[in-house]
Amino acid sequence: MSNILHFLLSKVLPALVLLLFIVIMNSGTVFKETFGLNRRIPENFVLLQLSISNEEWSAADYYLKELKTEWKKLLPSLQFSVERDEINHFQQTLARMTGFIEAREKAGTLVELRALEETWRDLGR
Amino acid sequence: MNEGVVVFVRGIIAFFTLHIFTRFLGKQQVSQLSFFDYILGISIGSIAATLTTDLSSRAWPHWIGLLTWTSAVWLVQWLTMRSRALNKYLNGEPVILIMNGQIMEDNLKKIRLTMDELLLQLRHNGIFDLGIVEFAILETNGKLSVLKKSQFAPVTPADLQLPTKYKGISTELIYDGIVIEENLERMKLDRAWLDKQLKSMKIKSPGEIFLATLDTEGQLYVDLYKDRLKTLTDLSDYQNIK
Repeated sequence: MSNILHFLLSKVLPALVLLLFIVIMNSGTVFKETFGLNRRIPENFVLLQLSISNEEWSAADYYLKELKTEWKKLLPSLQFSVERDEINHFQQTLARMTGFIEAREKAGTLVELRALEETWRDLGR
Repeated sequence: MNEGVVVFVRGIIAFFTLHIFTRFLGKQQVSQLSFFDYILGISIGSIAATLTTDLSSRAWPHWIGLLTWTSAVWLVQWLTMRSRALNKYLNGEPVILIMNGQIMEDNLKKIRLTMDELLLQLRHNGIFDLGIVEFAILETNGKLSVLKKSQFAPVTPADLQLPTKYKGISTELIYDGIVIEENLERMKLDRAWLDKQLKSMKIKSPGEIFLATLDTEGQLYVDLYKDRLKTLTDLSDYQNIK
C-alpha cells in the first residue's frame, strides 16, 4: 500500500502537474484551433470582408462590434498562452480598423482586416 | 490582459516545474557542485525567471528551454556516471597543490590560483602553518582537501588500540510534541517504555518536548520547549535589533 502511495506521490503526481502546466501553456492554441470554440472570430472576418468590399458601412460597424465582443470573451482564456505583444497588436489593429470604418475608408479598412487575420492566425504559435 | 494574474500563473508554473525538475536531477548539495554545475544552476534559474516575468514571449518556449537544459544536465549526469574518462573530461580532475610538504608552483599557475588564495583556503581548513601540511589537493568543486603530516594528525582510538562501541544514526522518537510511532516500532520499543523514560526525566507528556532522539547506545536525548537555562547568551551587539 505504501509502495503504491509512494509511486503515486513521487511519479504520478509530478507527471500530472507537468501535464496540467503543458495544457495551461497551450490552452489558447488548443481552444483556438481544435475545439473551434472561437469560430465566431474567423466568421466575423469573412462577414467584415464582405460588408467592407460592398461598402456596407453600418453592417461593417455591426460586425466589428461583434468581433470586439468575441475577442473580449476569448481574451481571459488566451492570455496565459500567447505573447503580450500579439494581444497588443491585435487590439491596436482593431482600434485602427474602427477609425477606418468611421472614416468610411475602404482601402485602409481592408489593410487592417488583413493584418488582423494574420495576427489571429499567428496567435499562440 | 491582466498582467498580474498572468505573471502569478506563470510564476506558479515556473516554481513547481523547477521543483519537479531539480528533484528529478537528484540531491547534489551546493557545496558539492562543480563550477560547471553552478553555472548550469544559474542558467536554469534564469530561464525559470524569464518564464515568469517575460510576457513579451509565450511561456511555452521558455518551458521547453527549461526542459532542454534539465534533460542536458541529466544526460551529462548519466554519461559521467557510466564513463570515468568522460567524467574527468567534463568535470576536471583534482589538482595537487602541496605534495610532501612542497608547494607545486606549476599547478598553481595552471589553475590560476594565487599563493594568497591557497593560504586562505588552508586557513579555512584550520591550518595556519604550512609546515604541518603533507598534501593539499584542490577538488573539482573548488574545495581544498588537506592531509596533515602524520606527526600532526589527531590521535584516534585505533592509534591507541582502544576498543570502541558502534555508533550509528540517532532515531527521532518525538518531534514537535508528537510521538513518531513508526520509529518506536522500528526500534522495537513501545509507548509504555517511552512514558517511563519521560517520567524518569520528570516530563509529564510528549507535548512538552520539541525533539527527542534515541542513539544506537540507547541514550535518550530530549529537548524541551521550555529551556531550563537561567541566563541566555546574547550574541547581538545591538539591543534594538532583534
